[in-house]
Amino acid sequence: MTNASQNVSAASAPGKEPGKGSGKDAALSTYTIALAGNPNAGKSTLFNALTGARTHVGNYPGITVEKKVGQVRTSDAVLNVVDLPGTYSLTAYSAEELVARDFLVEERPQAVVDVLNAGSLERNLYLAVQFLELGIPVVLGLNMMDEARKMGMVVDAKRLGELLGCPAVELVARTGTGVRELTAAATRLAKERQGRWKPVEISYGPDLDPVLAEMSAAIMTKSFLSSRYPARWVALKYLENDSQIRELGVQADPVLSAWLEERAAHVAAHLRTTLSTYPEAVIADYRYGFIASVLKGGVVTRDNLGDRLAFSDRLDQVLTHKLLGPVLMLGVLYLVYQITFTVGKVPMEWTQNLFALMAKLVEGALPEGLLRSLLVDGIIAGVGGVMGFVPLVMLIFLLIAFLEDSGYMARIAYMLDRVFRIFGLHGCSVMPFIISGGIAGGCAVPGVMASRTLRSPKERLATILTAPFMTCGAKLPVLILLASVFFPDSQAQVLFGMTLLGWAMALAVAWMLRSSMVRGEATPFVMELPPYRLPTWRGLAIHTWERTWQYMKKAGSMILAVSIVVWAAMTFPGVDEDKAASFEAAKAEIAAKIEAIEAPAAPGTAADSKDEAPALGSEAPAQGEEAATAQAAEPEGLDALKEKLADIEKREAAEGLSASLAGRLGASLEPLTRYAGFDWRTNIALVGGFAAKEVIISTLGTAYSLGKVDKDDAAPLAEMLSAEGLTVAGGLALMVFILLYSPCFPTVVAIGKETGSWKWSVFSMTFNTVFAYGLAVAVFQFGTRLF
Amino acid sequence: MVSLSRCPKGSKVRVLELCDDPKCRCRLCSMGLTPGVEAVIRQDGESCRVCVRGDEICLGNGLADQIKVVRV
Repeated sequence: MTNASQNVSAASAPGKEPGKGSGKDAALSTYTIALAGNPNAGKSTLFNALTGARTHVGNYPGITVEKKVGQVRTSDAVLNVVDLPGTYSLTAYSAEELVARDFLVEERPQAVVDVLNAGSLERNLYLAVQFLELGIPVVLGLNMMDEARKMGMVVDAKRLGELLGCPAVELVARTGTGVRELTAAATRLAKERQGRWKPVEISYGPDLDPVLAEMSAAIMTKSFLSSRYPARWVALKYLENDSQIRELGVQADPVLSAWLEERAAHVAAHLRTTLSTYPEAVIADYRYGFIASVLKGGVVTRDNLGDRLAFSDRLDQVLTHKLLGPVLMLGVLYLVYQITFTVGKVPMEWTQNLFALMAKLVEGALPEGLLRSLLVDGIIAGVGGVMGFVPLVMLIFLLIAFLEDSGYMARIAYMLDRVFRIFGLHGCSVMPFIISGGIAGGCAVPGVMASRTLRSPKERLATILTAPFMTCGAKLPVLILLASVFFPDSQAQVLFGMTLLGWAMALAVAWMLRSSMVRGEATPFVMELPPYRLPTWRGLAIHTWERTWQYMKKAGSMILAVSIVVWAAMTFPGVDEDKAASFEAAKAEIAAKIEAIEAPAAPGTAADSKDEAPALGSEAPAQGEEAATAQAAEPEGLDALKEKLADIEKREAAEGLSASLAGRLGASLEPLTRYAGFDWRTNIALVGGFAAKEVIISTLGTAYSLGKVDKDDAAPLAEMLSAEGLTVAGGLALMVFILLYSPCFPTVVAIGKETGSWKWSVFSMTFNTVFAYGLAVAVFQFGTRLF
Repeated sequence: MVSLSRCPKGSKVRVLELCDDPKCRCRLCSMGLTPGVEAVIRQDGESCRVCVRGDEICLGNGLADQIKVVRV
């Protein structure tokens, strides 16, 4: 029941729709509507208001890269609304622009809804003009009308529509005002035009018009690229040096293409010498001229002197101040970190307890065996380890969404660009780094995904490959544990040092990559700084949920699979049968004793005090000489027995682990890792850590036959580690290695997906591991000599 | 004619020349920075903020060096 009231039959069109206005046409027509607009024009907000679907909205330019589709039902049609990436133009500058352009010419939607920021019409109409030139049916949505009015602007949408020959609707997407009118207008236009494109011709002045005419005529006679683009558009693109169109042109008709390129080069040379300007600048100039003439034709009247940016500018005088700005930025980032950890700790404990409870329930419900082990040690431990971070991740995303929607994130990128440049990165690399754990505790999976905001492929690749060096939330507990063992007096400093080391290594490796494998010109940094805005709750909720959901989906699918694989590697083939049997025998024996004591069978015969703790040597599963006297134990003896049983179980687990695939791998790596101070048990944990870094602690626990080691109470493991002769140098080397070695499996998958090539997944696994190994060896060797 | 990066904060300039890379020129144009347009420097220096056609953009990485303007 979207808009029954919207059947306004203002059909000014060639009367093609007889049944119009009744709203009761039996068959609803379906139209595809593309939603386009500048970044920061409120396009995603409108998409949400239109379709009710959940999609990401951002003040950060160009955050929507994926294609999102939502459905709107009006009384007489079904609209499939496709959310195009936010663009300023339809050139071939960025992936987003190409995506938007290709969608339009390939899918030929029945109409484009172009969202404009009414407060900044001149700039925003630049894209609209290009749609008109392409000929696609356009509906203009003048968004943020409330803000424009507040600034004292009067915008005559109707007049604008008349002048441009397309419907224009006033909107406040945030509140949903005008959204119905917009869908009605889009439906009407789609019906009227029936997919026909009518390119609008704009004059480009005495220097370009004749050439354009000449080029278009040639294009027309050969039907060059005409299935997709209007002739004049193609000519314009040749003048603009558009790489994509030129490539298509060479494929379609090399001769004509060469001639067109020659003409374009000629014009460019002419403009250069006579006017010292460039074709693309002349084209842009005439487009802006056209826009100015339209706006002056009674569309916009300003009755005040209000500067839309005055408030933002005043804030920026402080927030992006050359000295004060970076200091405040560090403060803000530190605050994000503090809030996340102080507030996030509580719900994180809840979820972790929930999984612990689940493990207990399953343990109680199932008999001991492979299935129980798979469920408890494999699936619940693996997935739970990651899901436990959901509250934390959610909080981080909420804060990041706040920074983005408020406009501050763009300023952070702007300020950091200067620093990141030095290392061949881009100001926008900061987000992936921070999300990955730049302020300890993030996660590299969403971090790698956040690199989508980067436009240049080279800088993006370098960012993706280095973001996993950050101290993510899974490495953090491991590092905390090791710090508490080896540096009990300066834990915080050591952790801070590790975070800094993560940054230093990320930047250093980025620099290395950018001057070797990922070489390429730095992309110039141009970014719009949107005015500061107070984010809406709705917007924040949508962003946070979207990203958290992405994270959870990953935990649900990928990590589930990996958990199972890792569990199998750490379980099979297991101890050989003889050993297993002897362990079983020993356990059965003690169990029998315990049972005998616990059963109140022989109440009166608690006399013989038998020493119940013959140290559990290697001959533990010895003869059952004491079997007959089991009932003799005192209650203390009972405890001792239970302890003994637990001990055997731990030893069994340790033996099983060392005999497993992972254990054998760990042992076979020992000759190599010795130089870094790691023994085979550490190796197993590190191999397990490839699945998810959280696994390291629990695996170390198993490997050192300590049974389950609790993340929060790892004191026994700590004691054991130092008792087993891991030196300070070894501990430091281990911390360095854990910080830097191969990203966990989910991250590796994300890297493969984001770079579009598994080559880089393999690269990050091998390179990072080798790099970390080298550094760990250096630390260990130096450390051993120093201390 | 001076580089945009040399103009002091608060000054008003007219753009004369853009950068060398054609793609980047298209980008600057689509963000409103065309030859002949007037802009106000909101923050000066290598990485500067300028207000152009009613919006604010920031430029970095030597881009402001390449853009030539004249004070008005």
